[in-house]
Amino acid sequence: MKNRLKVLRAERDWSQADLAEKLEVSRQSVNAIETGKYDPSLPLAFRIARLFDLPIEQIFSEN
Amino acid sequence: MSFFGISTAERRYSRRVIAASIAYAVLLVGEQYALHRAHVSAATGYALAVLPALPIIAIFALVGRYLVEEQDEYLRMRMVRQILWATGLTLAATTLWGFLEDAGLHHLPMFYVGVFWFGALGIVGCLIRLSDR
Repeated sequence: MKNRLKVLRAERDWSQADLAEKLEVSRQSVNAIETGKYDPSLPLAFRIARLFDLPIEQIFSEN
Repeated sequence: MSFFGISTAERRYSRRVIAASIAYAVLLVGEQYALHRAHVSAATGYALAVLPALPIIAIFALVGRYLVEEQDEYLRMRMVRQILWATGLTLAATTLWGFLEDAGLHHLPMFYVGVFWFGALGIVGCLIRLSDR
């Protein structure tokens, strides 16, 4: 699964640590999601979508 | 939540593992002293021999408890991968060693299975963390 997390984060001038703190996850989680090593669970994907105020499908895509 | 890249559950796990390791060292020294210096009956010897195994068993349980307490889903998944790799490597190595023993290689005491598993868990953990950077 692909995602636009890195771009969205950069647009807001947030570091990985900033985003991790806002999502209440580890920085390693943010890094693993951004690099495509890990696909978040649905609850975490919803939290990310809420934080960026975007629908999930505008952040994550199948390929 | 994580501080300095270490989650609260990871810190709790580390503290508990250190405490269990200290208990292991103390019990091992005491058990070895009692078994080899003092004259104890066979039954007492067996009872003493169980003592150092208890903190090791506790560490296995602590690994499971960490998985329950870790709130970060990625860190939890990372530990599960670590456990699967360590278990797979241990099973492979001990199966291989068993057949080598059958062919004449010297016998390795069973407690080395745990030692190997912890070693594999640590090495795999380091490799996974390095690949995370």
